[in-house]
Amino acid sequence: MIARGAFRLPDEQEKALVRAWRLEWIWLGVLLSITVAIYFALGNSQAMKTAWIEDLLSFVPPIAFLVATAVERREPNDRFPLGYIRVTSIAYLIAAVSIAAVGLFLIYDAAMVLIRQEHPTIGTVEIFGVTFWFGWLMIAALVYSVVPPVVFGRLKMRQARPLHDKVLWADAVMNKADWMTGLAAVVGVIGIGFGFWWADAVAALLIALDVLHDGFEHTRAAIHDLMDRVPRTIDDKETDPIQTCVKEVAEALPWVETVSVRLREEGRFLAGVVYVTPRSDTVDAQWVTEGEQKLRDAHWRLLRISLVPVADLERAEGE
Amino acid sequence: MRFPKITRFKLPAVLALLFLVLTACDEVAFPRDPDGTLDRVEATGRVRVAAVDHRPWVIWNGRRSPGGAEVRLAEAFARELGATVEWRRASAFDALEALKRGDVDLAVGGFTREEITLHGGAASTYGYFTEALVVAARPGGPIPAELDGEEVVSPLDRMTDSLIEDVGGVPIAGEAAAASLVALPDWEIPAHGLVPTGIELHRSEHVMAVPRGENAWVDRLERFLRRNGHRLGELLREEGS
Repeated sequence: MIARGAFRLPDEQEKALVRAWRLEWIWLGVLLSITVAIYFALGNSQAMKTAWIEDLLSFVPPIAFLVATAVERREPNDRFPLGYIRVTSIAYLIAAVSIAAVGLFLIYDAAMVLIRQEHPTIGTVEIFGVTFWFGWLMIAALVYSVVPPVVFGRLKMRQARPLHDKVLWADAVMNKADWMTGLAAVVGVIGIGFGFWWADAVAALLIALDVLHDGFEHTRAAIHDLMDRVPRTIDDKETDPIQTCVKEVAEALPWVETVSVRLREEGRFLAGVVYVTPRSDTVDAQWVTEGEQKLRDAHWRLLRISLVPVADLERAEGE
Repeated sequence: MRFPKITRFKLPAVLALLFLVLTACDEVAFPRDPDGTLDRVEATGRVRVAAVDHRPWVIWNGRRSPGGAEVRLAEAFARELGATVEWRRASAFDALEALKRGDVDLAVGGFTREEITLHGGAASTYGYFTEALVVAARPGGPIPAELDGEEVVSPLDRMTDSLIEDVGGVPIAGEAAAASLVALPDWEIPAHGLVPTGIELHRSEHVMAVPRGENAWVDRLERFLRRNGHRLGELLREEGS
């Protein structure tokens, strides 16, 4: 009933996965360069520490993605007879928690500045004999740090949808947090320039609340996935329509009378049981095998579907 | 997830425009002080400066106003703003506390960046003067490339003694005039008629201390220091002799 051996993806998904891999490797390099740029632009030690911790957390989702997609491909064996496909769900949880951690950390940091009433001091810098306000250099570095996450976030989302890859999706959400905090910092530095010492902290706080909200929602979604919640679309907006499709395919089988579908997410795939009541008193094992094959052919995500004929749906559901 | 269009093209353009407007027009004050230090100094013609006794940076001789190299720099800065200095004698800690409370606008007295950072309640300017503590030798005598048990006169303090030991020398007490090797700040070398050995014991960045977040004030002071800070070595020699 359950197919053994590593899974195979359709061509479109294979291509998307290769692109996503390439994207994440390039992104790691870009992220490193942003980290270095911020390091040189932020002389102040406190601001430095904040940027550092945030950058380190930004490394978590792409690494989680690369590790998970590599592990996921392993062949099932005696120790892991069902394979490794659920590693993606765990990677999603890790990525989601790291987003929430960024939000929490930013809130803590901004709140401390406001509580202690720390007035940020930004002096001057001399480059090629010209003296200008250091804030301009900080803004330049921040603008550089904002552009790549916008571009990469969009590219990642484009690959995440066909792959139904929530880790990649979470990484794109982290990119949104990256560029939004960068933008908030630009506004904050300009605000400081206009004499509002609290500008940077307030801008950061507003964005941090949004980041925390995203992190919280995704952490909840990841935990629910691990608790076998009904599969939902990748943006977590609605129940995945694939379930209706499964029901229709099962109902179209000539020997099937009524159908009840129980699906759960296992990484990017779906697994579960389709209970059916047969029209006749006996069921040929060949029918079941063929029915399962039909279901698997209906969508690539339907990897582990069991077709279970029962005499009484209500008794089967009450098990 | 929304990606507003402004982040792609308009933001850099808006920032570039802002940069041009704010740097090109002198009428637009930018950056500004949250507590208005620069405006107040220019309006009242008074700068309140805490001066910490630290020869020859700041020298209090019992008079109402101090002398010293950094005192002369601070006075020149005040003149540039059309202001006069109201001096306050203070210990290093009290000076930084006064800055934290907003009781003074500036503190001088040979501060290093580390001292300001350690206190945490005040901000420092950029390191406008780097002082190296070096070993100097008598001209005509042997000039060692490194120390190996040579005696070095250490006229300063215990800290200097241990720095001399770290590079292999033996610190001794005594007069700089009689010794063949002396540990002293690099700006003092010409005054003693010595020559540098190339052996450096310590390096410190000297700053002035200002209230935190008064960015127009810091901006103005740093621009002054970038034009005049290089004179400090000369002023230290004048005041030290």
